[in-house]
Amino acid sequence: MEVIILKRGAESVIILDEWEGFQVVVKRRNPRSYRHPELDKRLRKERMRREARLLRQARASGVPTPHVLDVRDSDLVLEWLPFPTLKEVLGEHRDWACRELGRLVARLHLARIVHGDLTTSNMLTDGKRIYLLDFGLARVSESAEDRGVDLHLIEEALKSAHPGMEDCFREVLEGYREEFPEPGPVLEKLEEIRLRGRYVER
Amino acid sequence: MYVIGLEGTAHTAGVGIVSSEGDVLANVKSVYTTEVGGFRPRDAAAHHAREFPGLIRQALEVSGLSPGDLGLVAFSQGPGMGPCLRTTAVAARTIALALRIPIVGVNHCVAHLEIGRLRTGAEDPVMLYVSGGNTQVIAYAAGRYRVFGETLDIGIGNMLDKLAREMGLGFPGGPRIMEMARRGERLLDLPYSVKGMDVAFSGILTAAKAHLRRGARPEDVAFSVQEYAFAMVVEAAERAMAHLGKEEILLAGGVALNERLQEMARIMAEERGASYHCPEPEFLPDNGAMIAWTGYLMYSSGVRMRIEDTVVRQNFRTDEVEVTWR
Repeated sequence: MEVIILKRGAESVIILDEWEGFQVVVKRRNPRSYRHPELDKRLRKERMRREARLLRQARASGVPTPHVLDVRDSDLVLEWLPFPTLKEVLGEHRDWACRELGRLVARLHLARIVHGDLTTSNMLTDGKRIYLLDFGLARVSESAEDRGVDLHLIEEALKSAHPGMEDCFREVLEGYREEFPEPGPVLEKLEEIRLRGRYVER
Repeated sequence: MYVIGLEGTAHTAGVGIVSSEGDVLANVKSVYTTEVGGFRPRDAAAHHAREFPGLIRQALEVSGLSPGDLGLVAFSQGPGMGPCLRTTAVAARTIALALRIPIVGVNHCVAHLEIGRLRTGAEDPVMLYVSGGNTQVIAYAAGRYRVFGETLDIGIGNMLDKLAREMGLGFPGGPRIMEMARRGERLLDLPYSVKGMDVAFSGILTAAKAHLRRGARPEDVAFSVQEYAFAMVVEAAERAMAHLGKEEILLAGGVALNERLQEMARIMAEERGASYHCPEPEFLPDNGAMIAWTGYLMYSSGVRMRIEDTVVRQNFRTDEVEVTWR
């Protein structure tokens, strides 16, 4: 089968491939030649393993993610989900997707995971569920600051990629409040982060 | 117009003179160092008080100007050590009052970025600013220079200094560590700590000390610390470039004199198809020319200060400065 490159990012390439007769997605971390080769190898391996672990934990906590099929060296082999990104179809699904997204992020946070890269192009939907992808920057954290940053990333992504959908973020927050007990400190941090302007769009 | 700039936030007392065309006519300095023990802000301030009169005279001599040719005095208003800042501010106010010329206070971190832009031609870079006390990734966004990443504990230069002291090398530690690292061969295991665009160094220092205690070759320790610490800051800068969509990296700060760090930043830029910018060595560490030039940029865009506005600001944040000149 022909190998198709789906996405060539700064951190990794995403390849459509075949594995044990299944169609799969392979995520391969790009080497960085400015780093010492041993250090580079070690980091890519560690980060792949962490990503695999967090993807599995997220799924176990009720956040849809692709199944992790295999981890080999610096490659992550994932289930292929043939769905459009939320970025492409948010308009059709806004009646349920915004609130649902807030619930998912709350569940992720309750599982002590912060995603670190929540844009609508890192989400897929089959019209019933939202799948979160790309846990490359995800990590274990319980801090209100990190959680606030996650919410702020969604807000910024909605602003830049979905003009005219300002009220979507309000519903994201509604969903978050529904699922996250005592969201006060996180929402206060969100306000603080907004004012700081560190994450402003270019 | 000719502008005189006084830098004095920490170790360095620096005096620079620039023209409004961006020519650097003088850039002289005197650095406070200690043979033993650490940095004492009061002693550094006394050093600056002693040195500034001579440095100002020297800068005028080098530039071939007389005091009457100066049209503006700029000084480093912060961030930095209180005693050092106050001494520098007094020297600058004295010049302003004696010559009856306007005065502006400059943010030290912004000045590093502006002199880098002037000397390298970088237009809208992500600046990797690495010095003794500062480790920051700074870029322009929405009218201000903003800190996108920084150290969560100690500055990278402080870490190198502490390691050098542990090894019985003198101060500043950076150059000596670099010498020693050239003879390193083995990459030892150290913690690699990048969180988003932030970094942390105290874990590296602790682990490096442990390696030394267990009898590791100091050369290997120096080599490994450089490989880890520099890869971390370069990765933080790379993430900021990806996040902001900027295509220039600019180095600043004394630690950026390190050749290995320069090499890593250059390779990172090449791999991303971005451009690499590093000013001449005299403009990397703290210097007076960067203060003079930034003072000029501020003044020419309409910034005016009365003497009462020149109170020093130890915790002057980079993003408090409204960038009126871009």
